[in-house]
This record gives sequence, structure tokens and C-alpha cells, in this order.
Amino acid sequence: MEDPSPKILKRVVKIKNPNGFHMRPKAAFVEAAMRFASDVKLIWEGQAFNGKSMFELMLVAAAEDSEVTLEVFGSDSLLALQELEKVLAEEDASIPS
Amino acid sequence: MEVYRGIPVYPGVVIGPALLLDTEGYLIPQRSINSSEVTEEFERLRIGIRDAAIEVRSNQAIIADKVGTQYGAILGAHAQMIEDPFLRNEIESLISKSYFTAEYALSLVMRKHIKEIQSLPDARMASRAADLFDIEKQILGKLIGQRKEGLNSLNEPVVILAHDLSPSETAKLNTKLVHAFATEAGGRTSHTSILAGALEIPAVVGLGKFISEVTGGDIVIVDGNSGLLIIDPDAETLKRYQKTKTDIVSLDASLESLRDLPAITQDGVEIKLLGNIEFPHETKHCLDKGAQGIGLYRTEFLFMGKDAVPSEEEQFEAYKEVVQAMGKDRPVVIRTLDLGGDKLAAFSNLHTPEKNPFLGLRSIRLCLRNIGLFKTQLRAILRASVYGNIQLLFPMISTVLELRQAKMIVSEVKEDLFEEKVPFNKDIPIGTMIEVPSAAILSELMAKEVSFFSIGTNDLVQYTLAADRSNEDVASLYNPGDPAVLRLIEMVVNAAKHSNVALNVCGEMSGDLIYTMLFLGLGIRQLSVSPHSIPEIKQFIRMVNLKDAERVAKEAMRQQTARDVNNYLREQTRKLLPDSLMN
Repeated sequence: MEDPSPKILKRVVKIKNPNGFHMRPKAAFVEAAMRFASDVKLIWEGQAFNGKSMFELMLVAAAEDSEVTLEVFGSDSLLALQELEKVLAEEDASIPS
Repeated sequence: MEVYRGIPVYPGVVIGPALLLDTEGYLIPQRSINSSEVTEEFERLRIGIRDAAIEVRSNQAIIADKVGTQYGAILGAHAQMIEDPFLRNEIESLISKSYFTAEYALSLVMRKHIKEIQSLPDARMASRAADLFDIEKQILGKLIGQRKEGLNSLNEPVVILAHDLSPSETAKLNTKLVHAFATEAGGRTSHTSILAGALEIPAVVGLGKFISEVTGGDIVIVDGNSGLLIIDPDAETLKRYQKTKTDIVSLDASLESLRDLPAITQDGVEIKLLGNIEFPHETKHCLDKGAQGIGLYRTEFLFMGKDAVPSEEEQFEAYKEVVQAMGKDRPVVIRTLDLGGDKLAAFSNLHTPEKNPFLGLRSIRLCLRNIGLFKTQLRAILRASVYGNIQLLFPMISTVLELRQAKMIVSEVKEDLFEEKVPFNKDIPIGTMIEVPSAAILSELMAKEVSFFSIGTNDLVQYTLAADRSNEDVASLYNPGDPAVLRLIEMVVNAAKHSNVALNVCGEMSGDLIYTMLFLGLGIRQLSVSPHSIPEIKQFIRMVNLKDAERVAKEAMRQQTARDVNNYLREQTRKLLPDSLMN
């Protein structure tokens, strides 16, 4: 069920978490992103950050109600986009321990 | 090339690779590796990261369980960062491009990320830098742990460089591999310095900050004659020092010819020269240098660097070894436990922290409060006394009552041994250290209680001038030549003479040539010094005329300041000795 001709998929997502896109939602995001083969990028204030690197995401200081752009490219991009959008939009995303 | 000037504490010159020690006694890792070690370093990094992540995840589970999942999740985020492949790539590229160690590359990469985060405009996000520090510590801990770079894992000859070495760390140095040491802190009479003498390795202390300027593996020169540390010497300096090394060997050889000659003044007065020791194996060194006995066996070193108090048997074996090595006749003065202040670190179970340890429960005071501990030591000493000429010495006596109490406990132990039919010398001579001003002032009374005195100059100077000898800010007050110290010493000499009590002087002052004429002139006929100084002092005594020494002592006693005393004594000493032999 691989997409034969992958394209870059983009989606603008609003951060819902009242504390902004902080450590725990970031960790949940990275965890989810790692499950996909596709490249995952977050674009915030015009800068792109690797969605699979906690270190890079540490630099994304997106507050509540601000917007980030999710950019996915790869064989499973559609699925990844749907899944990651859900994590980003979640009010209190957290990785399971 | 960088040259640092400090305080020389044991002579000699050593040229060798530096090994850096951190404040917890771990070796500070080197910064670079050889190009052939890149793969190995990658593997170390992989394992370090893996182990750090495992540990953080297991902590995550514990915390989630205890206080809630959301708290555990923070550690989950840490684990993710630790395992971040981008982090690993960054570190690996520094290792392979710059040949840095995993530790150093990690800290460089983390420093970069920390800076980035700290510069974020959102204060709360910026404060996440703390998480990165934590992560760095986790991985570093695993990397360092892998190497287990304690001092016991040395496998090639090195020069140890450290901010400071505790006496117990110093005591544990393996001198087969540690050929010299140099420290940023410390003074001439700190216990670490005394131990350097015991270990017989060139050492320089009190050098001030230099650790950040040196990298493990750098070639350094420790010049224990002039008190220099030279980092990364140039070719010319290196050549000069290689020649110095040869010269020292020949000077030692000339002093060695003195070994079997007596320490006798020009006008025929014999001075007894004994050795101070910390460990039984030093008896050999004492005999090699011509010591006529052991004037001070500092038994506390038997207790240091150990988790438990040594048993009676263990102590007995050590004391027996010393006395047997010295033979039937040569005196062996065993000083009972003198733990206190700076030496107590390894002994915290016996002692609660004090605001003012040097004026606190230490030494004989500690023993009189822990009779069991004291009796164990006294039993061991008394049992060993049948093997030769052991004399018993109490440290830090400050009142007559204390001295009587200590003696009473000796009597009790003797009775116990007698009842148990264990042999011991019932006439064992008992003496007291005179190292607290009150004891010096009351020496006339103290003399009625004992058969000998031993003046401990280090503590006497410290307590007389109320100056901590290891505190660099007041160290200049700590001066053995101070007229107050000299007057106390004179009182003790006179009291000993009147009461016909034997008198010894130990402590660093007794090994310092500028005070030798003063001591002789005051009437002191026995000195106990670090074994390595014996030949030098003997050579000097053989040049001195007692009449001159008496005149010098009289004049020195008339001086009003330590500086005047020292200048005068130095000048008088120089008249007899060529400069090259003076420190």
C-alpha cells in the first residue's frame, strides 16, 4: 500500500496545549514520527526543524494557539500526516511510559 | 610551554605524561584520541548512550509509578533526546574529524545546544537548558564509568595533576606508576605534602590555577627542587632538565657516603637523627638514609583510606613490622591515633561535623572519648613492644589531666594483658607531644608525668599563631620562626633539662636547615625528620661548631619578628653552606 509517487504533504496545525508545544507533547510527537519511514519536518516562524529529533524540536517555542506547519515526505506520508496532526492538535499529548 | 611556580615539597625532577584528577578522584578524561581509535570511540559512545537511555527509562517507570505518568514522561523525553540519532551523528562527526574523545565531543555538542536553547526568547523554553545539562551528565557518567578511571587502573608511569589531593588519596598512590604530583592547592605543611615525603616522589603544591591549561597526556616536568611545574616544555628546557636529573643522582650519591657517619658537631657533640614515618615500609628508607631510630611513627595513616578501623591484629602486625625492621636497640616512637581536622574525612562515622575541627574533638581527645578504639591501639602497641625498643607517644595533650587519663588507660590495658598472660614491655617509656601552647607553658608540670617530650612544631606553630596552615589567606602568619614559637620551644627545652626528661623535635621545622643551629644552640640534641632530609642535616651538623650555634641561638632569640628571625638564621646558615644546598 505504498504510495508510488510520494509528494510533500503539508498541513497547518494550531497548538492546543495550554502550555504550548512543550517537552511532553514534543516527546510524544517525536515518538510518533519515528514510527514512520517518511521525513517529518515542523516549520515554525519560517524555520524548518527535523520532526524526528528531540534536540531540534527543543528549539520550537510555539505557544498555545500559535500555528506550525507539518511537512511530511515519503512512502507512508499520508498516514504519517494524519497521525502526527492528531498528536499536535491534542490538548495534552504525552508519550506512554 | 607554560611555567607555574609553587611550593616544593619533595625534591627531584620528573618528566612524564600528565594525568588529570578531578575533585572526586576520577581521572579527567583526555581530550583527544589517536586516529586509529575512532571506531573504538564510536563503540564507546554507542554503549554510553544505550546505557544512559536504559537507566533514564527505568527511572521513568519508577517515577511514573510513584507520582504519575506525566512526571515520568519528562524522563521519557530525556531518553528520547539521549537516543536522538542526530545527537549521535553530531558527536560522531566531531570524533572522526577532530579526533576528540567521546566525552569531549559530547560536551562540545551539548554546549552548542544549550546555548541555542538559552537564547530562545520564550523564557520557559529557555529554561529547558537544565534538561540538557542533565542529559549530558547521564551520558558522561556512563562514558566515564566505562573507563573506571580511578587511580587504581593506572597502567603506565604518569605525573598526577590535580586541584588538590586528599591525604587518603595520596596515601593510595601507587608510586611505581605515579612518579610525581603537582596540585593547585596546598601548602608546605599540609598533610598531603607530608605524605609526598613519605612516598618519596617529587611533588609541588600550591601552584594556583593550571588544570584548565593542561590536557591529559601532555608532557610535563615537575621540578621538586625549585617548585616548578612546566607544561609542554620546549626542546631546550627538556634538554636542560634531563641534565638536571643526572646531577641530582650524583648529589644523592655524595650524601650517601655520610650514611654510616655520626651526626657530630665540629666540637664533638653528637646529635641523634631519627626518621618520621607514616607506613611500615618506610623503615627501609630510614635505615638507608642512616636514621638512628624512628622518632615519630604517625599511626593514623594506618586508619586512613580504609572503610573500617583496623583490627588489633592488623595494627599489631604493622607495629611489629616497624620495630623488627629497626632492630632491638633503635628506638621506635609510636604516636597514638592523631586523627583530626583535615584527616578526618575518611572517618566520618566516628565523628560528627564540627564548626571548628582544629579546636574540636580530635587526636587524643577523640581517643579518650572512644576508649574501645584507643585500647585496641594500645594493646597492639604494647604487644609489639616485646620485639624491640618501642616508646609510646600521646598527641595533642593540652592539660595535665588529659595526660594522666591517657596514662591511666595504658595502665588498664597493661593489667588486662598481664591477666591474659600476653607478653609486653611493662617499662615502656611514655611521652607526650608538646604541640599545644598550654602544654608548652605547663611543660614543667608535664615533665613530672612522662619520660620524654616531643615538640610537634607544625601544630605548635598553628595553635600559637592561631593560623590555619592550609588556609592560603592566613598562611603567612603561620611561621615557625615567629618569636612566640621560639620562646615556647625554649621553655620546653628548659623544663626538659630541669626534670631530666628526654627531648625530641619533630615536624617540618626540624628538617629545615635554617633552624638547625638554633635548635642545637638552645640545647636540643635529638631531631626527627623526614628520612630524605637526614643526610643533608647530618652533613650540616658536621660543619657546625656548638659554640657558634649557641651564639646564633642567643641572637635569634633577641629578634622581634619572624622575618627578622628567619633572615638572621638564613644568613648564618649560608655562612656554612653553599647556596646550592639550601632551599
